[in-house]
Amino acid sequence: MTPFGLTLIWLLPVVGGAAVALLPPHLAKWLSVLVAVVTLALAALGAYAFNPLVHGYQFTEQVTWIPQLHADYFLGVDYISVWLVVLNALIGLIAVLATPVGGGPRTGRFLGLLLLMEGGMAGVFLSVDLLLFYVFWEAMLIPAYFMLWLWGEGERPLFASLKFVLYTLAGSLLMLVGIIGVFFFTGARSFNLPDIAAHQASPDIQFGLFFLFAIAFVIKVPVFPFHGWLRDAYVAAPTPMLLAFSGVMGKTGAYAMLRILIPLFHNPSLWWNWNQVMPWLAVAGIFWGALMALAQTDLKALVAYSSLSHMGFIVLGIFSFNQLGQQGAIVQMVNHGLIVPALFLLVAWLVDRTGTRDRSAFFGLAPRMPVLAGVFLVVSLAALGLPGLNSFVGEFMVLLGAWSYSPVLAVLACSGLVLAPIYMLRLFQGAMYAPATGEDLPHGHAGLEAAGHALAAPHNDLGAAQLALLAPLVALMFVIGLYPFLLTHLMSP
Amino acid sequence: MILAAAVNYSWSQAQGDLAQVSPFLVVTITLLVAIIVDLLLPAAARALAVAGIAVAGFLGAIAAALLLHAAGGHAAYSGFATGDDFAVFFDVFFAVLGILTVLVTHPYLARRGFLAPEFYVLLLAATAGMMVMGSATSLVTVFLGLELLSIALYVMTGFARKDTRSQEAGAKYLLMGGFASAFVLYGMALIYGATGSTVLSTIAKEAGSNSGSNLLLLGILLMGVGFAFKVSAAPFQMWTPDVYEGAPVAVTAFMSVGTKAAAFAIIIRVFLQGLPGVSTDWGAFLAFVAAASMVVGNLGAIVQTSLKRLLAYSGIAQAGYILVGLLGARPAGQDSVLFYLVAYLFMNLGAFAVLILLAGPAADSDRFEDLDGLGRRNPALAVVMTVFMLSLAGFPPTAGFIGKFFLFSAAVAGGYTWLVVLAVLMSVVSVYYYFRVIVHIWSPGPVEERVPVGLGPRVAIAVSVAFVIVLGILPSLVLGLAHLGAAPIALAAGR
Repeated sequence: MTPFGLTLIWLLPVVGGAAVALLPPHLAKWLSVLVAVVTLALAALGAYAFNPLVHGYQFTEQVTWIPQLHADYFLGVDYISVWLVVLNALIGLIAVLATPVGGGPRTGRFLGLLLLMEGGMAGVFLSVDLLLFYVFWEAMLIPAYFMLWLWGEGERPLFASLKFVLYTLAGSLLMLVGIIGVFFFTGARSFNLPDIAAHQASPDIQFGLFFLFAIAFVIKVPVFPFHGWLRDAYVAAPTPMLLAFSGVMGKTGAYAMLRILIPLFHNPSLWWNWNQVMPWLAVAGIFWGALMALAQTDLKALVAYSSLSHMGFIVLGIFSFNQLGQQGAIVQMVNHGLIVPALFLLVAWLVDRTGTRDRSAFFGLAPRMPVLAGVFLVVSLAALGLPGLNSFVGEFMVLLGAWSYSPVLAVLACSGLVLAPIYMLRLFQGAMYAPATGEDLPHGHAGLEAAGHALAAPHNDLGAAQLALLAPLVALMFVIGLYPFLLTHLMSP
Repeated sequence: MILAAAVNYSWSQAQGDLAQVSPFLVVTITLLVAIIVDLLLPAAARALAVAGIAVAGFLGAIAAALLLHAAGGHAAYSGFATGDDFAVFFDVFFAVLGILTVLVTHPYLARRGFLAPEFYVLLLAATAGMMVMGSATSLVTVFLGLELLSIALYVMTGFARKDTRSQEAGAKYLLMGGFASAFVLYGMALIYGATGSTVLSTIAKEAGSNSGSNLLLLGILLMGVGFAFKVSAAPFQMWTPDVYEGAPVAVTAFMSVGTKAAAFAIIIRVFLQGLPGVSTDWGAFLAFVAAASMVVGNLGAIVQTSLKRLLAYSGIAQAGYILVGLLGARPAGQDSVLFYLVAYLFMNLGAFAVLILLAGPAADSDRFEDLDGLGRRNPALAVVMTVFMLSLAGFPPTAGFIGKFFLFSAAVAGGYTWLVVLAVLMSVVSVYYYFRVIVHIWSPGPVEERVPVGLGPRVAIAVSVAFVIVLGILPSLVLGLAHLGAAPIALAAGR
């Protein structure tokens, strides 16, 4: 790697994004693709050069930033972040490619914001200094807000975007107090994560600080019951942004738990121990998300809630406090980051072709769109954790980890897993193979006619370009499913 | 004794004392020159000439301040004023504020039809008053600066002579301000009674030895009420929205930054340098005022329909944040306040500069709807206004974020964690109304002619936005300057 490799990984999308925003649509698209490709190449190069035998951060860059506060510009990657950086760059590229050029001068601005968000999220994964981490954490919110609002779908994108911003800000500003508190109350007098980890505060102080940090992360992930913004935001999000939003942004929260909560607060207990509360919330989220997914008729909302359920596994793995569970969580972060964007892409294309997001309006699509149906099947199976596909590996590791932490939790989580096939397969079967009947349509035969009208459009299966977008995601689902060592071999220490 | 000192006051002593207040002197001389030039020139050329003279005067004041710093400022006029780095910091601050104000104001005054050289003369007078407040080390000089500033501002508020709202605001400000001054004066009299002196260093010694005196505490309370009035902190903020709304927007811009900064200068001076021995007493008072300001300002701002009133309430809330930092540990607390004032100067003046540009010939445009479609009409202006709003809301990577971070971390170090938690929760509320402004900027609106942006406003806005972003990314240089500026206070308080 070049000496400034890590800086480039966040700076390139940010500078590129600012430039792209000023360009006319086609030029903007080309430049943003170029920026995203180079970023992905840099990230992949980093993962390739990553040495699994080295303990701690690699490729570090440390420059004094604010000497009065002992804050440094300190970047580095370790086994937790290395794959997430790659994932972010990959999803960023796919999001850029998925952006249509037809929007006039607005296209350039959208692409610019998309790259800015990618850069911000890369910065979150790369920062080793808490203050720097916070700057990126907040900065990525601004492009997300603008994309959600100005390019959002549905009737109330402004409401959804503002709800998202206020929710996440309430958490992250409390984290700001936590960051200040860590500086003073742990005696570390530093924002440098390894330094702070070396200063464990007393349990009651840890209790308070844990709360201040965790509230930001559980909202961002989101963990049940802090998911109030999730449905509105995911439903409103424009597709390209939703890929990065669902695929990567939630991961910043889970990543932060692993990066900050676990090493900094070994024993956050006063009235109760937070470390024992978190896994229960995670399991509650697994159930709640799955049950809500069952109840949804809106396709995007269904995927949104399934995402909530799957994020529960990641959090459960993190708070199982053993290597297996936490490695499983990391693997699952990557998996989830591949599956959910693929699902949302497929849903978006389905909606494009039929003009509705109502699950019950779909039927018998498979004969007309065999390719789409086939890909949909693979991604659905991956999502519900079929062995041989990627999600199985991660969820299995998480469950093993959870078992050694608490068998009760593992059993509960396992039974939550049973719900996933129900909502995924019901969706798949209903949309692809169900015969046409007017009964389960909300508007009876009028609805059937409307849906039939949409489906009577000429044969429009997935094109080569769309397949090419999905190909890397689906390929990686197989690769990780069959050869998980690819991910886990970097996690040996 | 005073008489004897006056008799022995030699020319060389006078020279030495004058040198310590040289930035103030430069501004005052400029003011006199401006009046004479105004009389000599033909009517058409007056306003521009006086504006140029004012800018030259402010630049001269900056130069004088830097020379003063290089020479090493110290106490002057038997401890009534000083040329220390704290004073130098504020001299430069107010001169920069003056320059930016002239740059954004000139085209506005012409468009609104009340372009008159008097405006700049008043501006110079108000700035001179602020500079006196920055270098005052005695209650008498504090009051002198306060009145010089206030009287000039009363007139400026009512400057739109044919606009009844402006007239009303001027009258209201005069009455309310007079009230506040009376409070300050009463408090000062009681403090004088309790300590036997108006010079801060003497008060510090006396107050330390008889800290339980009720006379002293009552004096502090009354003076604190008056000061809280001037920084528009709750529950003494009532005048702020009305005056901000009624005054011509250019005056509001100047006043919102200048009055606040000057009042904080004297609060720091008087409380931290003059009354460090009784800090637990005034600390409780200021903590209450800070909490009330953050709650009243942020909740009040939500329901506003006028941008000027919104920024008024935002200013009340910001005063609360600054007070939180002021209560913080020494010296980080004072450093953070000075840093935040610099950030506030650029982000608030920048936001007002955009409003000034939007003002029509008949009236100021301060409805939210006036911003609609700005993103299409003037994309560059829309982007910078968005940056200013994000900075006021405290988003990184802007000056507003890092400034708030300094304030809050100083307060946590000083043991005011509860106040910081309240502050961040109120910051979440503030995001709602700052984002309302952003929403209107980027909403579709009437397709009008784009707003013309002259050279002066262009320079002022460019400088402001550059500072807002650079301070957010590389704050250490200005933080170092703030530390330098606050050093005399830390030194005095430590004795």
